[in-house]
Amino acid sequence: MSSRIEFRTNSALLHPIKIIATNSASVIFTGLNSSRFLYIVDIYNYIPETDATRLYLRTSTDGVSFDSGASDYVYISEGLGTSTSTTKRTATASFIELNTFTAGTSSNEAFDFTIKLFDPSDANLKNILGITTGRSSSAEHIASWLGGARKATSAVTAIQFLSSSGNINGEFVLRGYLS
Amino acid sequence: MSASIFPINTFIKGNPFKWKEGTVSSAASLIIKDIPLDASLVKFVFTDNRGTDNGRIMQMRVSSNNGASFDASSGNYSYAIRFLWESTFADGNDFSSGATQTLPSTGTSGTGANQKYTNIINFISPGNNKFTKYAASAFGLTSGGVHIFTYGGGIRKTASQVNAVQVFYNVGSISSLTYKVYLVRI
Repeated sequence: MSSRIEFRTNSALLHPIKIIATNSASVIFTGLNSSRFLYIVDIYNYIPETDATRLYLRTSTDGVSFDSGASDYVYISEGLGTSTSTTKRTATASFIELNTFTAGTSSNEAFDFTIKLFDPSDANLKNILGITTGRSSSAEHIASWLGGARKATSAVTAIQFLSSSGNINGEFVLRGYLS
Repeated sequence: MSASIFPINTFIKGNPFKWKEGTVSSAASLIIKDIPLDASLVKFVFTDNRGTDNGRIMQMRVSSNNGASFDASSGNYSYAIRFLWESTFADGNDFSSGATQTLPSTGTSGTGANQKYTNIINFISPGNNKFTKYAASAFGLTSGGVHIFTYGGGIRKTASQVNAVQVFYNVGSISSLTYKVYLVRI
């Protein structure tokens, strides 16, 4: 089952909103609109249900269905670990892969993310930037950097986080920088 | 249950406050002046960013006299920017220890469809009388039609405050740019 919450931008308040995912199929934030120029999602202590998996991001223009076409997304990431380094890149993806290194389920294996989504309502491609730190499924301490985009100009109104396999755990906080 | 609530864009210590905003169209540069010297973080967020000329790079300079002049001497700036392509091209680093300007990104702007950038540039405590440091990241579609992701930072190598920033393209003008500047004060 997915965890879903609406970002209430018409309330004249500037609250961040939080979802605590506990073995959730996905986390969904709806209600994104032109009232915010920059949305930031901080994800604390992300732990997948399934070992050696990756956290994906997808976008939606209606808050109901999330774009998952084979070439909907592009992403580029680079990660540095205490013993290895790696890059991930593709311009033909059905998701944006947020962690360059795989997330694990063993003790102390968890990731923190900061994901930034630029103006979701403008007429440009929907670019994102991100940073990840933590301990990978190989018990390696890592940091990684990410850029990507939903390759369409339609207004994005919702975003979804889900795992490449299994459910997800963690604290997802969405905040918006005022337009 | 209680919650801390406050009206939109009210200044609260430690929270980002939208300080300036605007759009640029066919202008030689964007100049942001009057940067408060008590800001602990000044965050520039750009969207819809491209130059008038194909294949050009955005550059940046800073000022200590509120934009009356911008530092442009050899050796004023050091920077290190990492760039990664979506495919086919070689990744690399662009760096200098003695430049007349610095870089928020290394990607070339294009005039084709969607060949634009989004940028975040964070200046940390620009009011300090220390070397001024910034961190920057960007993502966009280059003039070659390939996406690029860049991240890095730089230093203005003069121990004085910065109260104005100028961005421009190395050739030509800014064709379009939407910007917001957020401040965090502690």
